Amino acid sequence: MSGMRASIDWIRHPAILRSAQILIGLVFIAASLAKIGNPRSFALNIHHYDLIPVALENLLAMTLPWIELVAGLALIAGVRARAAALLALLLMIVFTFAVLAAVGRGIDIECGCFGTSDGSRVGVEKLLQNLGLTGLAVVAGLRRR
Amino acid sequence: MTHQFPPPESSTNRENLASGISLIVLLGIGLGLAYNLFGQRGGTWGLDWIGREPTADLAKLPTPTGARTETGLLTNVDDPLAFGGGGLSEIPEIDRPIQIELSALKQYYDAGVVILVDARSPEEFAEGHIRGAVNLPFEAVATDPVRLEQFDPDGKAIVTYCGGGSCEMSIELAQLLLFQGHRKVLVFMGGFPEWVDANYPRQVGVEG
Repeated sequence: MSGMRASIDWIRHPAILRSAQILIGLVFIAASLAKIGNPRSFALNIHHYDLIPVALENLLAMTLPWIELVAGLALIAGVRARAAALLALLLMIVFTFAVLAAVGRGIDIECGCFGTSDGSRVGVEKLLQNLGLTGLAVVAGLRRR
Repeated sequence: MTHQFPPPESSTNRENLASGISLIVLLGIGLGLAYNLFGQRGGTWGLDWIGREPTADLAKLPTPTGARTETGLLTNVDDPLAFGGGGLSEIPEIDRPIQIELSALKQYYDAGVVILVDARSPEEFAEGHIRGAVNLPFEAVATDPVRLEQFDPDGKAIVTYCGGGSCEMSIELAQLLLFQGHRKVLVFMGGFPEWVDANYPRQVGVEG
Protein backbone atom coordinates (compact mmCIF):
# COMPACT_ATOMS: atom_id res chain seq x y z
CA MET A 1 0.00 0.00 0.00
CA SER A 2 2.67 2.45 1.03
CA GLY A 3 4.58 1.67 -2.18
CA MET A 4 1.60 2.62 -4.29
CA ARG A 5 1.04 5.71 -2.25
CA ALA A 6 4.65 6.65 -2.72
CA SER A 7 4.29 6.29 -6.45
CA ILE A 8 1.45 8.79 -6.64
CA ASP A 9 2.94 11.02 -3.98
CA TRP A 10 5.50 12.61 -6.31
CA ILE A 11 2.73 13.76 -8.61
CA ARG A 12 1.39 15.98 -5.85
CA HIS A 13 4.52 18.09 -6.08
CA PRO A 14 3.43 21.74 -6.28
CA ALA A 15 5.46 22.32 -9.45
CA ILE A 16 3.79 19.40 -11.22
CA LEU A 17 0.30 20.45 -10.13
CA ARG A 18 0.98 24.01 -11.26
CA SER A 19 2.30 22.84 -14.63
CA ALA A 20 -0.75 20.66 -15.16
CA GLN A 21 -3.03 23.55 -14.26
CA ILE A 22 -1.32 25.92 -16.67
CA LEU A 23 -1.29 23.34 -19.46
CA ILE A 24 -4.99 22.48 -19.21
CA GLY A 25 -5.73 26.18 -18.72
CA LEU A 26 -4.05 26.97 -22.03
CA VAL A 27 -5.97 24.21 -23.78
CA PHE A 28 -9.26 25.51 -22.39
CA ILE A 29 -8.50 29.09 -23.41
CA ALA A 30 -7.53 28.01 -26.92
CA ALA A 31 -10.70 25.94 -27.21
CA SER A 32 -12.89 28.77 -25.91
CA LEU A 33 -11.42 31.49 -28.13
CA ALA A 34 -11.97 29.32 -31.19
CA LYS A 35 -15.68 29.06 -30.34
CA ILE A 36 -16.49 32.44 -28.80
CA GLY A 37 -16.29 34.24 -32.13
CA ASN A 38 -18.81 32.01 -33.85
CA PRO A 39 -21.61 30.76 -31.59
CA ARG A 40 -23.75 29.96 -34.62
CA SER A 41 -21.49 27.29 -36.00
CA PHE A 42 -20.83 25.98 -32.51
CA ALA A 43 -24.60 25.68 -32.00
CA LEU A 44 -24.76 23.64 -35.18
CA ASN A 45 -21.97 21.39 -33.89
CA ILE A 46 -23.94 20.86 -30.68
CA HIS A 47 -27.05 20.12 -32.73
CA HIS A 48 -25.27 17.37 -34.64
CA TYR A 49 -24.43 15.54 -31.41
CA ASP A 50 -28.19 15.26 -30.92
CA LEU A 51 -27.84 15.00 -27.14
CA ILE A 52 -29.68 18.01 -25.73
CA PRO A 53 -33.05 19.63 -26.54
CA VAL A 54 -32.96 22.02 -29.50
CA ALA A 55 -34.22 24.83 -27.28
CA LEU A 56 -31.08 24.68 -25.15
CA GLU A 57 -28.53 24.42 -27.95
CA ASN A 58 -28.09 28.15 -28.52
CA LEU A 59 -27.93 28.88 -24.82
CA LEU A 60 -25.15 26.33 -24.46
CA ALA A 61 -23.37 27.64 -27.56
CA MET A 62 -23.39 31.16 -26.12
CA THR A 63 -22.26 30.28 -22.61
CA LEU A 64 -20.10 27.15 -22.69
CA PRO A 65 -17.09 28.78 -24.41
CA TRP A 66 -17.16 31.55 -21.81
CA ILE A 67 -17.24 29.06 -18.94
CA GLU A 68 -14.22 27.40 -20.53
CA LEU A 69 -12.50 30.77 -20.85
CA VAL A 70 -13.08 31.76 -17.21
CA ALA A 71 -11.98 28.32 -16.00
CA GLY A 72 -8.87 28.51 -18.20
CA LEU A 73 -7.95 31.96 -16.92
CA ALA A 74 -8.46 30.87 -13.31
CA LEU A 75 -6.21 27.86 -13.88
CA ILE A 76 -3.41 29.94 -15.39
CA ALA A 77 -3.70 32.75 -12.86
CA GLY A 78 -3.80 30.29 -9.97
CA VAL A 79 -6.95 31.92 -8.61
CA ARG A 80 -9.41 29.32 -7.36
CA ALA A 81 -7.29 27.01 -9.44
CA ARG A 82 -8.39 23.77 -7.79
CA ALA A 83 -12.06 24.58 -8.27
CA ALA A 84 -11.32 25.46 -11.89
CA ALA A 85 -9.39 22.22 -12.33
CA LEU A 86 -12.29 20.16 -10.97
CA LEU A 87 -14.69 22.04 -13.26
CA ALA A 88 -12.34 21.33 -16.16
CA LEU A 89 -12.33 17.67 -15.15
CA LEU A 90 -16.12 17.63 -15.05
CA LEU A 91 -16.34 19.25 -18.49
CA MET A 92 -13.78 16.85 -19.94
CA ILE A 93 -15.80 13.91 -18.66
CA VAL A 94 -18.96 15.34 -20.25
CA PHE A 95 -17.13 16.05 -23.55
CA THR A 96 -15.64 12.56 -23.58
CA PHE A 97 -19.08 11.01 -23.10
CA ALA A 98 -20.49 13.20 -25.87
CA VAL A 99 -17.78 12.00 -28.27
CA LEU A 100 -18.27 8.44 -27.06
CA ALA A 101 -22.01 8.70 -27.71
CA ALA A 102 -21.37 9.97 -31.23
CA VAL A 103 -18.81 7.28 -32.00
CA GLY A 104 -21.05 4.62 -30.45
CA ARG A 105 -23.95 5.59 -32.70
CA GLY A 106 -21.63 5.64 -35.67
CA ILE A 107 -22.36 9.23 -36.61
CA ASP A 108 -19.56 11.06 -38.35
CA ILE A 109 -19.68 14.66 -37.19
CA GLU A 110 -17.38 17.57 -36.70
CA CYS A 111 -16.07 17.66 -33.14
CA GLY A 112 -16.61 21.38 -32.58
CA CYS A 113 -14.11 21.07 -29.74
CA PHE A 114 -11.84 23.83 -31.02
CA GLY A 115 -14.42 25.61 -33.13
CA THR A 116 -14.93 24.64 -36.73
CA SER A 117 -11.61 25.90 -38.03
CA ASP A 118 -9.58 22.88 -37.02
CA GLY A 119 -11.99 20.56 -38.78
CA SER A 120 -11.33 17.65 -36.41
CA ARG A 121 -14.02 15.02 -36.34
CA VAL A 122 -15.18 12.72 -33.60
CA GLY A 123 -13.46 9.35 -33.56
CA VAL A 124 -11.03 7.19 -31.67
CA GLU A 125 -8.26 9.79 -32.02
CA LYS A 126 -10.46 12.46 -30.44
CA LEU A 127 -11.44 10.03 -27.72
CA LEU A 128 -7.81 9.38 -26.81
CA GLN A 129 -7.06 13.11 -26.89
CA ASN A 130 -9.95 13.69 -24.51
CA LEU A 131 -8.84 10.92 -22.17
CA GLY A 132 -5.35 12.47 -22.05
CA LEU A 133 -6.80 15.86 -21.20
CA THR A 134 -9.06 14.25 -18.59
CA GLY A 135 -5.97 12.71 -16.96
CA LEU A 136 -4.28 16.10 -17.02
CA ALA A 137 -7.33 17.65 -15.35
CA VAL A 138 -7.22 14.97 -12.64
CA VAL A 139 -3.62 15.88 -11.85
CA ALA A 140 -4.42 19.60 -11.92
CA GLY A 141 -7.22 19.00 -9.42
CA LEU A 142 -5.12 17.08 -6.87
CA ARG A 143 -4.40 18.58 -3.50
CA ARG A 144 -0.85 19.68 -2.92
CA ARG A 145 1.10 17.39 -0.68
CA MET B 1 9.93 5.65 5.71
CA THR B 2 6.63 7.28 6.43
CA HIS B 3 4.63 9.51 4.17
CA GLN B 4 2.88 12.62 5.23
CA PHE B 5 -0.55 12.81 3.63
CA PRO B 6 -2.85 15.75 3.84
CA PRO B 7 -5.62 15.31 6.37
CA PRO B 8 -8.99 14.17 4.98
CA GLU B 9 -10.74 16.89 3.07
CA SER B 10 -12.68 19.07 5.48
CA SER B 11 -16.24 20.11 4.77
CA THR B 12 -15.20 23.77 4.59
CA ASN B 13 -12.66 22.87 1.98
CA ARG B 14 -15.34 21.11 -0.05
CA GLU B 15 -17.68 24.07 0.28
CA ASN B 16 -14.91 26.34 -0.96
CA LEU B 17 -14.46 24.17 -4.01
CA ALA B 18 -18.18 24.06 -4.69
CA SER B 19 -18.49 27.83 -4.37
CA GLY B 20 -15.43 28.27 -6.58
CA ILE B 21 -16.93 26.07 -9.30
CA SER B 22 -20.29 27.86 -9.06
CA LEU B 23 -18.52 31.20 -9.27
CA ILE B 24 -16.68 30.21 -12.46
CA VAL B 25 -19.81 28.76 -14.08
CA LEU B 26 -21.97 31.77 -13.22
CA LEU B 27 -19.29 34.21 -14.36
CA GLY B 28 -18.99 32.29 -17.63
CA ILE B 29 -22.74 32.26 -18.21
CA GLY B 30 -22.98 35.96 -17.36
CA LEU B 31 -20.19 36.94 -19.71
CA GLY B 32 -21.51 34.70 -22.46
CA LEU B 33 -25.01 36.13 -22.29
CA ALA B 34 -23.75 39.70 -21.99
CA TYR B 35 -21.44 39.29 -24.97
CA ASN B 36 -24.00 37.61 -27.19
CA LEU B 37 -27.16 39.46 -26.23
CA PHE B 38 -26.01 42.94 -25.28
CA GLY B 39 -22.46 43.21 -26.53
CA GLN B 40 -21.03 44.48 -29.77
CA ARG B 41 -22.32 41.48 -31.62
CA GLY B 42 -25.74 42.46 -30.44
CA GLY B 43 -28.93 41.04 -31.86
CA THR B 44 -31.09 38.38 -30.37
CA TRP B 45 -29.84 35.53 -32.49
CA GLY B 46 -29.59 33.22 -29.50
CA LEU B 47 -33.05 34.01 -28.24
CA ASP B 48 -34.53 33.59 -31.69
CA TRP B 49 -33.74 29.94 -31.51
CA ILE B 50 -34.54 29.24 -27.90
CA GLY B 51 -37.91 27.58 -27.61
CA ARG B 52 -38.29 27.62 -31.37
CA GLU B 53 -40.72 25.15 -32.81
CA PRO B 54 -38.99 22.50 -34.92
CA THR B 55 -41.46 23.26 -37.71
CA ALA B 56 -40.47 26.95 -37.84
CA ASP B 57 -38.42 26.44 -41.01
CA LEU B 58 -41.17 24.65 -42.87
CA ALA B 59 -43.26 26.31 -45.53
CA LYS B 60 -46.98 25.73 -45.17
CA LEU B 61 -49.19 24.12 -47.78
CA PRO B 62 -52.68 25.58 -47.53
CA THR B 63 -55.57 23.16 -47.27
CA PRO B 64 -57.76 23.09 -50.40
CA THR B 65 -60.72 24.69 -48.62
CA GLY B 66 -58.66 27.52 -47.16
CA ALA B 67 -57.24 28.53 -50.49
CA ARG B 68 -60.28 30.30 -51.86
CA THR B 69 -62.46 32.98 -50.45
CA GLU B 70 -66.24 32.78 -50.48
CA THR B 71 -66.28 34.57 -53.82
CA GLY B 72 -64.13 31.86 -55.29
CA LEU B 73 -61.11 34.13 -55.75
CA LEU B 74 -57.67 33.01 -54.78
CA THR B 75 -56.74 34.45 -51.42
CA ASN B 76 -53.22 35.38 -52.42
CA VAL B 77 -52.09 35.03 -56.00
CA ASP B 78 -48.54 36.16 -55.22
CA ASP B 79 -48.12 33.39 -52.72
CA PRO B 80 -46.20 30.57 -54.44
CA LEU B 81 -48.08 28.19 -52.21
CA ALA B 82 -51.51 29.47 -53.20
CA PHE B 83 -53.73 27.11 -55.10
CA GLY B 84 -54.08 27.61 -58.82
CA GLY B 85 -56.82 26.28 -61.05
CA GLY B 86 -59.20 23.62 -59.88
CA GLY B 87 -58.49 20.47 -57.97
CA LEU B 88 -55.15 19.85 -56.35
CA SER B 89 -52.60 22.60 -56.36
CA GLU B 90 -49.22 22.18 -57.96
CA ILE B 91 -46.67 21.66 -55.22
CA PRO B 92 -44.10 24.47 -55.51
CA GLU B 93 -40.48 23.67 -56.26
CA ILE B 94 -38.88 25.52 -53.38
CA ASP B 95 -35.67 24.72 -51.56
CA ARG B 96 -37.18 24.14 -48.15
CA PRO B 97 -39.51 21.53 -46.74
CA ILE B 98 -43.23 22.16 -46.95
CA GLN B 99 -45.49 21.12 -44.12
CA ILE B 100 -48.59 19.20 -45.18
CA GLU B 101 -51.62 18.36 -43.06
CA LEU B 102 -53.43 15.05 -43.02
CA SER B 103 -56.48 16.15 -45.05
CA ALA B 104 -54.37 17.59 -47.88
CA LEU B 105 -51.97 14.66 -47.76
CA LYS B 106 -54.84 12.19 -48.19
CA GLN B 107 -55.98 13.98 -51.36
CA TYR B 108 -52.51 13.90 -52.90
CA TYR B 109 -52.10 10.31 -51.73
CA ASP B 110 -55.35 9.25 -53.37
CA ALA B 111 -54.37 11.08 -56.56
CA GLY B 112 -51.14 9.10 -56.57
CA VAL B 113 -48.94 12.14 -57.09
CA VAL B 114 -46.79 11.75 -53.97
CA ILE B 115 -44.36 9.14 -52.76
CA LEU B 116 -44.32 8.62 -49.01
CA VAL B 117 -41.00 8.14 -47.25
CA ASP B 118 -40.86 6.64 -43.76
CA ALA B 119 -37.90 8.05 -41.81
CA ARG B 120 -38.21 5.60 -38.93
CA SER B 121 -36.07 2.51 -38.27
CA PRO B 122 -36.57 -0.64 -40.37
CA GLU B 123 -38.02 -2.38 -37.28
CA GLU B 124 -40.69 0.28 -36.76
CA PHE B 125 -41.38 0.31 -40.49
CA ALA B 126 -41.92 -3.46 -40.49
CA GLU B 127 -44.38 -3.18 -37.62
CA GLY B 128 -46.61 -0.98 -39.74
CA HIS B 129 -46.44 1.93 -42.16
CA ILE B 130 -48.50 3.95 -44.60
CA ARG B 131 -49.40 1.69 -47.52
CA GLY B 132 -47.00 2.21 -50.42
CA ALA B 133 -44.44 4.08 -48.36
CA VAL B 134 -40.73 3.38 -48.76
CA ASN B 135 -38.36 3.18 -45.84
CA LEU B 136 -35.39 5.55 -45.68
CA PRO B 137 -34.32 5.32 -42.03
CA PHE B 138 -32.90 8.71 -41.09
CA GLU B 139 -30.25 7.18 -38.82
CA ALA B 140 -29.02 5.03 -41.70
CA VAL B 141 -29.09 7.54 -44.55
CA ALA B 142 -27.44 10.23 -42.42
CA THR B 143 -24.31 8.06 -42.25
CA ASP B 144 -24.69 6.33 -45.62
CA PRO B 145 -25.43 8.93 -48.32
CA VAL B 146 -25.38 6.24 -51.01
CA ARG B 147 -28.80 5.03 -49.85
CA LEU B 148 -30.07 8.54 -50.33
CA GLU B 149 -28.53 8.84 -53.79
CA GLN B 150 -30.22 5.60 -54.86
CA PHE B 151 -33.63 6.91 -53.89
CA ASP B 152 -35.66 7.83 -56.96
CA PRO B 153 -39.03 9.51 -56.40
CA ASP B 154 -39.93 8.89 -60.07
CA GLY B 155 -41.00 12.48 -60.63
CA LYS B 156 -43.43 12.49 -57.72
CA ALA B 157 -43.43 14.88 -54.80
CA ILE B 158 -41.83 13.40 -51.70
CA VAL B 159 -43.62 13.33 -48.35
CA THR B 160 -41.53 12.36 -45.32
CA TYR B 161 -43.02 11.25 -42.04
CA CYS B 162 -41.97 9.52 -38.85
CA GLY B 163 -43.51 8.75 -35.47
CA GLY B 164 -45.44 11.99 -35.01
CA GLY B 165 -45.33 13.78 -31.66
CA SER B 166 -41.87 15.21 -31.04
CA CYS B 167 -40.32 13.19 -33.86
CA GLU B 168 -38.13 15.46 -36.01
CA MET B 169 -36.50 12.81 -38.18
CA SER B 170 -38.99 13.56 -40.95
CA ILE B 171 -37.81 17.20 -41.06
CA GLU B 172 -34.16 16.20 -40.97
CA LEU B 173 -34.67 13.64 -43.71
CA ALA B 174 -36.51 16.27 -45.79
CA GLN B 175 -33.51 18.58 -45.37
CA LEU B 176 -31.17 15.82 -46.53
CA LEU B 177 -33.35 15.15 -49.58
CA LEU B 178 -33.38 18.85 -50.44
CA PHE B 179 -29.63 18.97 -50.01
CA GLN B 180 -29.42 16.02 -52.38
CA GLY B 181 -31.12 18.18 -54.98
CA HIS B 182 -34.69 16.93 -54.70
CA ARG B 183 -37.52 19.46 -54.83
CA LYS B 184 -41.18 19.26 -53.84
CA VAL B 185 -40.22 17.79 -50.50
CA LEU B 186 -43.05 17.79 -47.97
CA VAL B 187 -43.20 16.86 -44.30
CA PHE B 188 -46.19 15.24 -42.62
CA MET B 189 -45.68 16.10 -38.94
CA GLY B 190 -48.63 14.04 -37.72
CA GLY B 191 -46.71 10.98 -38.79
CA PHE B 192 -47.82 7.39 -38.68
CA PRO B 193 -49.95 7.75 -35.49
CA GLU B 194 -52.19 10.41 -37.08
CA TRP B 195 -52.55 8.26 -40.19
CA VAL B 196 -53.55 5.29 -38.02
CA ASP B 197 -56.03 7.41 -36.05
CA ALA B 198 -57.74 8.34 -39.31
CA ASN B 199 -57.82 4.65 -40.23
CA TYR B 200 -56.22 5.25 -43.62
CA PRO B 201 -54.55 2.44 -45.61
CA ARG B 202 -51.49 0.90 -44.04
CA GLN B 203 -49.53 -2.28 -44.28
CA VAL B 204 -47.18 -4.45 -42.27
CA GLY B 205 -43.85 -5.95 -43.30
CA VAL B 206 -40.71 -4.84 -45.04
CA GLU B 207 -42.10 -4.58 -48.57
CA GLY B 208 -42.41 -0.95 -49.66
